[in-house]
Amino acid sequence: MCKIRLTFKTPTYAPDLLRSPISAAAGRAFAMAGIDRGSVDMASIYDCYTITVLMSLEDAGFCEKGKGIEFVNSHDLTFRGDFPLNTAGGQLSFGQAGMAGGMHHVCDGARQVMGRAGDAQVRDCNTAFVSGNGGIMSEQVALVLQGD
Amino acid sequence: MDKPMPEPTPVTKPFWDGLREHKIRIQYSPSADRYVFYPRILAPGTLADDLEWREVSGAGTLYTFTVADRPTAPPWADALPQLLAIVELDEGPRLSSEMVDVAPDALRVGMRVKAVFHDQPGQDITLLRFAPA
Repeated sequence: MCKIRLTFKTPTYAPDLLRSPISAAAGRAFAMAGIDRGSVDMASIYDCYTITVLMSLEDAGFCEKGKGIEFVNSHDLTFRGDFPLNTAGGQLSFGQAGMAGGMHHVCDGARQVMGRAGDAQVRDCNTAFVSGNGGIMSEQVALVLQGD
Repeated sequence: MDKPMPEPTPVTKPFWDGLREHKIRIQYSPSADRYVFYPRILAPGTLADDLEWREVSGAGTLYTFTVADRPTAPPWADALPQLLAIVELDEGPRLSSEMVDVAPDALRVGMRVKAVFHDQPGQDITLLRFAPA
């Protein structure tokens, strides 16, 4: 019996173009942290493209499948809002700087939890959700960062 | 600007050799009873060492597409609009390609397509494209 962890590198070969691997990663991260999605104070979602954010929000379980657009339109995504998202600006704001682009999301979440996000500090931010992406929607990771 | 061309490897050469003959040959795993694309060494899912090359018809359906009104890269500046497509062969596997001989607004997800072979002038390469069936 063998198990292949990485079964595709581009969505052309994905079993389902619209189901991304963040689903399994987020499920595992939340289970390890012992919290649910509602406990997240801010999220930093890998945003190489807008569609990646919408699919990640859906597949990580923040909203129903297919409702990503409704979700972002019905929430205030700024640092003062009810779902602070990519408070450091996101890669859509400053370019997709390779590995540094992915690490920026970790820094974004860590700074918020540490209370070091300066003018963009989310009030009482104790739990951050961070996603990473590689390949073409083929390798994805999820982090739950918590402070106290 | 010259377009980059595929560079066949020992693993992919039978596929490209097939296209030069205007035939589509992809891999098949008898133990998994499954066609496989892209070319590889072992069968996906089972790692069975039984992949063999079989000719397929080239008939399929358009799984999804993008009409690129801006070039995806400088070499394609003279090839607009580029009709990027993912085609699902009737045998199962999907592959990335381009739609040709069709107006962009006539493209529909799920439309039947057939293979079209584009020999590349001055090159030892034939590219696989698709057109409405």
